Amino acid sequence: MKIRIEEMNGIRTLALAGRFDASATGGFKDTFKGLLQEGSANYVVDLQKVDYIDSGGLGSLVSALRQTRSVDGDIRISGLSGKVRSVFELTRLHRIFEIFDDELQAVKSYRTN
Amino acid sequence: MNSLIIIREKHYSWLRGLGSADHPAMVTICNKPILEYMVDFIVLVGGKKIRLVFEEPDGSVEAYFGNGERWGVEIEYGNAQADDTIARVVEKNSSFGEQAPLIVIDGLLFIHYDKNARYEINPEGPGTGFLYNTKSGSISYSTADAAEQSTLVKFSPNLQVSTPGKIVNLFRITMQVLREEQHRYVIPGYGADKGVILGRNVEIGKGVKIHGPVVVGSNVRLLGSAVIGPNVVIGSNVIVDDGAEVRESLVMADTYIGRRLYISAKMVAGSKVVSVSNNASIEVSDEFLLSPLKRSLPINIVRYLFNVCGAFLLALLQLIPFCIFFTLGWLKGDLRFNKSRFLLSSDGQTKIFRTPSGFRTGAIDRIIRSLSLDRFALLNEVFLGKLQLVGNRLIPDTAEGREFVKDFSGYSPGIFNYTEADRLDPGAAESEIAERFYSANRGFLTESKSLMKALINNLLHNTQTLN
Repeated sequence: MKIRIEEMNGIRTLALAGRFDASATGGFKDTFKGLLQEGSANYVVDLQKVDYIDSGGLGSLVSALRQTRSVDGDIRISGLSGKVRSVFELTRLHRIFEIFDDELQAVKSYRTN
Repeated sequence: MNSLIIIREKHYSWLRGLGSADHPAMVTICNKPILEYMVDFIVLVGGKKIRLVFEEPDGSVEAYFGNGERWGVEIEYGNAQADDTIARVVEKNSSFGEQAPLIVIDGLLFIHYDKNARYEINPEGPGTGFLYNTKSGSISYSTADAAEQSTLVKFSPNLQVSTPGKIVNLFRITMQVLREEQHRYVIPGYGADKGVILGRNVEIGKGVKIHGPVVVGSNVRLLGSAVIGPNVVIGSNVIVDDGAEVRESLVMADTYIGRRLYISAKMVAGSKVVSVSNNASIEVSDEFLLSPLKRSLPINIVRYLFNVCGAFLLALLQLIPFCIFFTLGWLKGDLRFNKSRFLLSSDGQTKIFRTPSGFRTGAIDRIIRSLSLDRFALLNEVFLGKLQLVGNRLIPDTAEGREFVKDFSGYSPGIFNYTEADRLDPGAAESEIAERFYSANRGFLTESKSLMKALINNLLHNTQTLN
């Protein structure tokens, strides 16, 4: 899985691409740990180019959310497509994460709060 | 024109389980889901794309509406959280909601449209205005320049809107549609006689009398000399037995009405009867009078074979070690069994299982757990079809457990579970995610892999217990 990190209006965005399964969770966790250590608290994770996500991927997103919320931050999700959205719904993660259509809107939403 | 339809399920949770509807939006009025009337209305006023936004999505809505092809419109799906305002929902669905003009229906509303009328929306100026706005729901319309607030938006011709906020309201709306407005909507079935609409596969006994207006769903048997109507809606998969009389009533899907029963001004769903005059509800415990009819589900042969063959193989492999180590454990006095009641499904079925407990830490206990011999006694439950070989974690029958499985429609416990297969902490959020994920993605390969992982994890780590 590829992770592209950018910054928009002071918000870190992580655009993931490929399969987000157990084999990719290590890379995601390490990347995220590094970002947290840099002091960022608010993130947008864009899953538009993720074509498959399993329980391992979802688990690492929840674990990342827990870490950011412990420092008063948040992770917002954008770009959920058909199958990935269904998995979010089945696992009730749409109740935990704020979900937006696109990355830009998710970044903007931090301002409107 | 696009439209967002926001269903806030928590306001309509009482509709769940009314008849066979899995989701409140799928509860029917004259055998057609309320949500379908809303979709029909949007199509009628020129909507091209509809996004259905849910707090509590459920596969039944998506399975029914699909991509909207059947309605000649593009249907998409989205999520909202319980406390999201309309503006927040529009913001979250930006790629969709920011395209004007936009109609937002917030809430489960029944719009009394007329399929033959041509509706026009007349805003007084640019911006957003409400066509209908009450505590229980709203219909708003945004023009291109939504920054300005327009003062008034009107439909021409005018529309009446009702909310199914209580059972009595649902009854009233249904009766209004049945008696006065049948011609205004497309109601599933064919017109057999004046005011009588019958679904597919309806069996009518020789002596049955039907007095319209009556709407009957599909796969219905009206037997012997039953009397139906006037003012009756019968859902699909219903049996009305000989001599029963149903008038001024709604019989929801999957219901059996017993012989010579007299139903008047009632709403019947399974074994539940609600009197619409005073909203009083009773549960009939005699299955010969009233009872829910269960739809037969296709048996997943591959899964069943996997379970039985796997359990049989495991029983063969474990039999000798089980006899040896349990005898040793018993002689040492280490071994005890606990009787506990566990949940078997999301609809609250339970069973008492004897599970080994009270192991002291010692070599024999470690071997028993490493070889998963603590599961041996439960293998017969797989043959009986009560437990899966690999499934969800066994949840004890407590208030907390019931709450957990209530909205977990695919819950199906197993002797080995997904949480131990992935070596997750049973109380952690990750465990719940894994349990739900695998439940929704069951298959021969996934389950074989989970079984192997659980056996290997037990062998190497022997840290997990059965529940």
